[in-house]
Amino acid sequence: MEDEKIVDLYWARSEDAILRTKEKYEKYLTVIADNILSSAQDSEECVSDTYLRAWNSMPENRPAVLSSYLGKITRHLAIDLYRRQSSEKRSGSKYALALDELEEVLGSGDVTWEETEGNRLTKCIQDFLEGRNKRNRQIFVSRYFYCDGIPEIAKAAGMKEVTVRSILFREREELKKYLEREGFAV
Amino acid sequence: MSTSGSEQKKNHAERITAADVMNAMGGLEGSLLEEAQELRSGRELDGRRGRILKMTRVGAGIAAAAFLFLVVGVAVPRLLSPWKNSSSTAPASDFAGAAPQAFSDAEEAAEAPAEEAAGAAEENAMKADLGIRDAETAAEAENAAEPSESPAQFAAPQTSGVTDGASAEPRSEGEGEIPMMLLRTADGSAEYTILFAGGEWSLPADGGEWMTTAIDTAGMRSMLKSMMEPDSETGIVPAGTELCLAPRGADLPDAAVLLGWRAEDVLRDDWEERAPAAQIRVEDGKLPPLEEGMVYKLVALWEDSFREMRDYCGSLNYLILAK
Repeated sequence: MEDEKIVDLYWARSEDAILRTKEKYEKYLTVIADNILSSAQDSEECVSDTYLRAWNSMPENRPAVLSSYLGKITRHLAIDLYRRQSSEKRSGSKYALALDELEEVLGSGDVTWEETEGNRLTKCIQDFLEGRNKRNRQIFVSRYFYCDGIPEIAKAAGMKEVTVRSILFREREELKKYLEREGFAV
Repeated sequence: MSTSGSEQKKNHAERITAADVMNAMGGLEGSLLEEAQELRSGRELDGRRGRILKMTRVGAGIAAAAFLFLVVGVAVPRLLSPWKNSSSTAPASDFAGAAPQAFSDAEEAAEAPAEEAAGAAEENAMKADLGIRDAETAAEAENAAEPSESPAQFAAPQTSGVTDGASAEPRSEGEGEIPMMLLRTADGSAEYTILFAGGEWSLPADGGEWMTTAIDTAGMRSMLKSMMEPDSETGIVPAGTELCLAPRGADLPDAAVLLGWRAEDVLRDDWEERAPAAQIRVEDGKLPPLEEGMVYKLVALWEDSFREMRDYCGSLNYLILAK
């Protein structure tokens, strides 16, 4: 079923909306959650919460791209759950690895930015990514939004893992420089 | 005087963290996510996309190479034939000699179809930067070359393993470049990535050109850290692997010493000042099994050809990561 029709179902308050969403996006959302949580049980719970969150938010929102809309919800919920987990339970999380990589160029620690400031940061990252070439942008977003593993990205991109690692390394360095130029203290 | 919680947070927030960036990534516009999803969806095809791309590239490469062969090998000599018997500075024999090189260059340059050209060029540049050979290229080189004991010939696999000198640009320290070389197991059944570290070094490349590069320690550590990712299957030497220190059939060193540090120690700034956790002596030319979770640094070699290599490599050190 097309996304627009699924969104129509949400707006019509039809429970088929969740059924259709599940049919179409369960695998996609589960991968996002599992990359972050590294636990089938937690991921399943997170994806279920995504449907509920979408159900509650949809009458107000009409997402143009349903996959991105749902993916953001899942990512947000999964990271939220990840932060509440013990360090022992976090082992194996690809999110943790991606975070470690970023900590090589940025500071470590918890989230420190207020939401409004965060929006400014998002805009800055958005602008940075739009200035990169498409392939590097895809790899960067795959790694730091979707938290995909390096081998998966390399396979999808038809590249060697070392090439992907090197691209990510350079992009992180470039991001750091860009943020500094934009007045962020890194 | 006390400050309010929000003021404290505001002050603290002057320095953004990696977690802030990860958090902010969650607000990216859908178009970027969709674009990345294009790439990710290739994964669901179980690698078919990559293979198709590769086949397309090879096909386009063959076609382009054939065309260039006709142009360079047939048309150009014909166009230049009036000069053949004159005292021109461009005799036909010069062009005949240049043709294979032009053919080779053109084949490489035309490897990708038009729509993939930009990406392929970038990838090739990246490979050149990293000194990584394609498995196919490595295999071809393996088949083409005869094992040699002479120092001069020993240098050849090093050169090809690093980069094509013609396309190499000197790089300055701090750019985060990670020089690497592929190293084979003694039986030739597998290749592993070796990280180079330890300052500037240079190697004579094909055509008599020289390449200079460097690596910064932070870059090396970052690479090591990402290589320790649990699901990574390549680029890391598995514990128990016997490594041949000489690539492509060159003689093994009579003896060598490797110092080993715990991988997590190598991630520290002062790792080289820390006492090594292990010392391995190579007596029979082969490394004994490497211990899991260690990073080894080759610190000494005794053998003429390897001494020659060390002369080429300057202060170059080898780091072998054993998972």
